[in-house]
Amino acid sequence: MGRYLAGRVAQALVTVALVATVTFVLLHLAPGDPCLDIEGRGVSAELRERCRVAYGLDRPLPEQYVRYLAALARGDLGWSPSLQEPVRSALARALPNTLLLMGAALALAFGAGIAMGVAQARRAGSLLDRVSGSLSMAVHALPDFWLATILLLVFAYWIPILPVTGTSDDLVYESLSPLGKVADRLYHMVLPALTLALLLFAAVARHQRAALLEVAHEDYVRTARAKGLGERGVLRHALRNALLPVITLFGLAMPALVGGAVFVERIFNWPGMGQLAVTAVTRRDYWVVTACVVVVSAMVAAGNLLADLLHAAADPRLRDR
Amino acid sequence: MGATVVAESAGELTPPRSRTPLGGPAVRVGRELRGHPRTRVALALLAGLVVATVGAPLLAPHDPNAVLDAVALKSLPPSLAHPFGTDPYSRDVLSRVLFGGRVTLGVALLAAAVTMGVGTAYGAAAALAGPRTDAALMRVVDAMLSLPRVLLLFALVALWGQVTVPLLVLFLGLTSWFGVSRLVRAEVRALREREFVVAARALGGGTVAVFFRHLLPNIAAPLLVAGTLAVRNVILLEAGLSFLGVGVPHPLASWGSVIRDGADQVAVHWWITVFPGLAIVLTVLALDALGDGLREALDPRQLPRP
Repeated sequence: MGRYLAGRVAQALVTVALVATVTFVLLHLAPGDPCLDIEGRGVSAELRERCRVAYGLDRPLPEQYVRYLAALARGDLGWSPSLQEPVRSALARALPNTLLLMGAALALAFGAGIAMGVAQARRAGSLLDRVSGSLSMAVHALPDFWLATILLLVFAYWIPILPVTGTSDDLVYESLSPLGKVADRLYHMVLPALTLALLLFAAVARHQRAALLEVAHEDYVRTARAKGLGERGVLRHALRNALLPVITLFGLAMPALVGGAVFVERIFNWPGMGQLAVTAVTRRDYWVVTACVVVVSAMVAAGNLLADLLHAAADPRLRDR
Repeated sequence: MGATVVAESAGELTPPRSRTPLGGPAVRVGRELRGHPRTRVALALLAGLVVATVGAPLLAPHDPNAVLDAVALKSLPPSLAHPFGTDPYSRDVLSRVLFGGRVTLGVALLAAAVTMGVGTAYGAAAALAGPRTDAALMRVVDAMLSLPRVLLLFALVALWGQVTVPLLVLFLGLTSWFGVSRLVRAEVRALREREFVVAARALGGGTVAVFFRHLLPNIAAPLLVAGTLAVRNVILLEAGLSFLGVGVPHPLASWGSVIRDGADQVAVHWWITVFPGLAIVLTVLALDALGDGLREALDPRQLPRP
């Protein structure tokens, strides 16, 4: 298990390094550079050159690349020309917001999705099963940014019960009690987290239903029934095995979730990594963009690793691999 | 042809296929699909969408980019004259949705073709190469799958300035093939030791020839399903990029870009955002249903046992 884990971590590091390389190359191949935009378009040639020297952009690309990777390996993400602060502190501000949003979405989607899938599988073919099956298929077909916009339209404008944007109510937030502050933040999180969760929820429910029906005909399920176990007990046996494909989905869902977060953060004005990266792109801030992409791919790698560990926890056969 | 005979004589290794008395696989799939009410609705819907978008010049009441009357016809809600309303530049939203469908569907089909081509070539190369090359190639795919695609495409397009439609197709296609390559690799690996492939090679068939003559036809079914999935995914991706303002060049309409035209003030003119979004949802739903139907029709394991 230890060796296996070490191997997987090494693999994840290789992945992150590859992603950093691809991002670096793609960004630097594009025309223009950050020094164009720092002081507006009217920057004198001399000033521009000084800026390029200061950020090392005058050096040959391979040298820049090696320097960047070396800095990255030391945990140094560089200095952001557009924000005039270390990239690390900008990330430190944005990352918790994104993690909070994604964590809430994951918990909602998997909690509700598994419950829904189980409920459907237990009454497979019933009206409930068919209606919720069609519903989750429809939800699965929704573009994330459109869903976010429509939810905003419905619940913030037409039936104004939820806040429009932001993470908290700026006017009153400081005067709230600690409990009130938490409540206010949760209140602001409902729409963005719900948008992200809905899309994933549909996939989880579909997978859980299919997986449970798949194992329903296994011998051990029949044995469990034959020895007189109640339906709850049978379900426990079956669910443990039927969770495996859903856990796989956990790893697979990360990239889609991150992509969704870019839109959701933009639409709900949520100051997370997606917002940070999108703003940085428009200012040609290579350092912030690369850092965001690298952090995101590290998150995806971590998600996959976590999925593997959960697999091992759910299935003892995988532990001694 | 000899290898095909070998394949059929190696029947004890292949799962039993129920053969319909008449017609080849295409006929069987067609019959299977027709017997599926949901797939039938999906096919009808897709046909309708294709007709509506291809026939946009005949069907659309206005030029999609025409500013009709910047003062009197600005941001009008849906009415008989403008069933989907007008946008802030007084353009007719219905016309933009119809013409936008051409762009959206055209871009999606072409990009999906790129995706399937590159993914198939890459996956087959990995499966047929030695174990070391295979491992290296698949590590790259693992890494690419963990890339935040939306973010990277956004960065690419934003940095290159406005991209042309062919370049957009290429960008979309070249960032969507990773999953397909995994699928093709798994399918080819499952087939490459089978007797008919070994026999074809023993008869002197080169790797490429054997792939096209014997392997590709045998993985056509999962590829077809993956193809419908690729089209659906590219539709959503293109719409997302257009929504972020880095998709099709202005003022060209695609469903995503029309959504964007209304999204920043959705409370003021919801119709600009709602209608093209519904077009996307319907198309994606139909493609999903078609994919499901194809999967069931093409998978021999799902046929009733003989």
